[in-house]
This record gives sequence, structure tokens and C-alpha cells, in this order.
Amino acid sequence: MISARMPRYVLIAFFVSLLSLLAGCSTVTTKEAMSVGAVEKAQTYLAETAAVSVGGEPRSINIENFEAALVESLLAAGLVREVDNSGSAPYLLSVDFKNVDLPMFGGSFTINIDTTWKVFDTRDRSLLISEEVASTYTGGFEGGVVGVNRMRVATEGAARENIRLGLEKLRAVGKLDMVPKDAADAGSR
Amino acid sequence: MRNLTLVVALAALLALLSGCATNNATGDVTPGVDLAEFQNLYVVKTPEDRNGVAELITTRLGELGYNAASGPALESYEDADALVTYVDRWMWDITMYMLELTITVEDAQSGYRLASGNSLHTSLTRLSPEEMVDEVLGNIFGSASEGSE
Repeated sequence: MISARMPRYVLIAFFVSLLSLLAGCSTVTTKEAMSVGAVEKAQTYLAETAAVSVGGEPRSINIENFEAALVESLLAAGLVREVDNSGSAPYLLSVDFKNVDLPMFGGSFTINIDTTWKVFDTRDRSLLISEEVASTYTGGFEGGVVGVNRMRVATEGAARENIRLGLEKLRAVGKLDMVPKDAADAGSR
Repeated sequence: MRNLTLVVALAALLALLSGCATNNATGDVTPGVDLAEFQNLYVVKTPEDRNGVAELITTRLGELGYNAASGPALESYEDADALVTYVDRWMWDITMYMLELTITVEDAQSGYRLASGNSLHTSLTRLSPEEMVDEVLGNIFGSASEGSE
């Protein structure tokens, strides 16, 4: 009896698994979900103009969308007046993904993201600021019941939290042209 | 019938509980950086590298026209214009394969990130280590190598 039914239920199981796999491969972390949104504006610009670059090991985070969310959040927080990636900005904010912990299975996904935020003077490429930012977010069922969607929502939450914490650290610096060149630990890289 | 229900239930549970990463291939050169200014590259070999990834990167950089060498992390890099670091992640699915490769190029003296690239391929779209290195470096140096041809 079991052998007679074997092809049918193996086929159904295969299609359910395939559906799960394909759904997972089509989910992308979005800019809108990773942007910090409405925040208290900084009292002074960190810099009038800065370039922004994101690198490192983003795992399943879409790096272009993360960079777009970062730029939008920087502007919304009033930390820069303008982001200029043409190559002429006097400062560069460089964010590197150092570690993104992604669980394989679970009812609720907890995502940990470690990044390094560095600000350079682009004229002599000297390091002005270096900050480690660690964020955690546990997603529930706000992404629905399918695992890959819940994973995406939890990842977006951890990325959004990482941006929020990074902006807080930048807000504490004040104005960049007041930061002495030897303020950052050059050995931190 | 009970077996059928059980298998479908287990498959559905797997679908609900599992997370799947997307395939990704990115490369980014920092604004204002001309990679052609950095001809002498030093690939910093990680102590955990038992798959010859540093050598693959060094070889490919040489093919792209750069003067590349590899070795362990050093106190200082006076002969290098830029450092090339990498993180490789491997996964087992019938056989071991490279799941993800991230390569970063930074100024050898200041640590200023010049460029970085990342490729992630899950099992069904897996690439060989050579192809992963080629894809990441192609995304980073693609425009520079096209310009020199």
C-alpha cells in the first residue's frame, strides 16, 4: 500500500518544497523596509556633503537597497545636506558588513548584524571616525507564515536597527570639520 | 493515506520554517577612486584558507593586468598599493561548494575602502571557486579592465 502511494506523495512533497525554494529565491530586502523613517533631526550637519559607500559581506541583504536606505535615513536625520557620489565630496561614509547571522530554521528568526562605520576625509584618505555597530532583531509573524518571508522581514528589521544605531553614533560626533585627524583609531582596521 | 498526509505536512512545515537566501552578485568601486592607480596588490591570505582561494584571486588579478602577490597578514605593506582581503563561506549539499565570496580592496596605508564585491550562489546555482572569484573580480574590476583593453 505504501509503495503504491509513494510516487504521488513524493511528487506533492517535491512541489511543496520547490515552491518554498522558489519563493525564497525571489525575496529581496527593500529600501523602504530598511529606512529608519521619521527621526529627530540633528542640530547640526555632520557634513554639508558626503559620499556614501557600502561593502563587506551582506549575505542576503540587498546591498544597493541598503545603501539607498542609508542615504535616505542620513538625509532624513539631517546629518548631511547632500549625498554626492560623483567623487568630489570631501567626506566618505563607508559602511562594511562584518557579520550577518542568519538562522536556517525557526518559528521566530533572530538576526544579528555587525557593521563597521568609518568616515574618511577623501582629500588625504585619512580616517576620522571608526565605530562598530551591532544590531539584533527578532521577527515574529509580521512577514506572514512562510519562512522565507519571515526571514526577509527579520533581516530588514535588523538592517533598519543597524542604520538607526549608526546614525545615533554619528549624531554624537557633531561637525566633521571639528574632528581632529588623529581622533580615530587608525589601527582599528 | 496517513503516510501521504504525514509527508505533505512535513514538507509544508519545512516550507514554513525554512529560510532561503537569494542569489546575489554585486561589485562597487568607492566614489572618486580610480583602481588603475593601484597596480601593486597584496592578497592577504586567511589562516583558515585551505581551498587555495588566495591563490585563485592572485592568479585572476594577474590575468586582469595587476601585479599581484599573496601571503599572510603583515605588520606593514610598504611595497603594496592596495590590500585585497576576502571572506569565503562553504556549504555542504552532496558535495562541498562555495556558497559566498566577498572581496574587499583597500588602500594599503590608510585602510580606505577602494572597492568591494560579493557573490552568493546557493546549491542549485552553485559555481566553482574559480567561477566565483571570476564573478566577484569581474564585478569589481570589470570597468577598469574594459578600459585598458
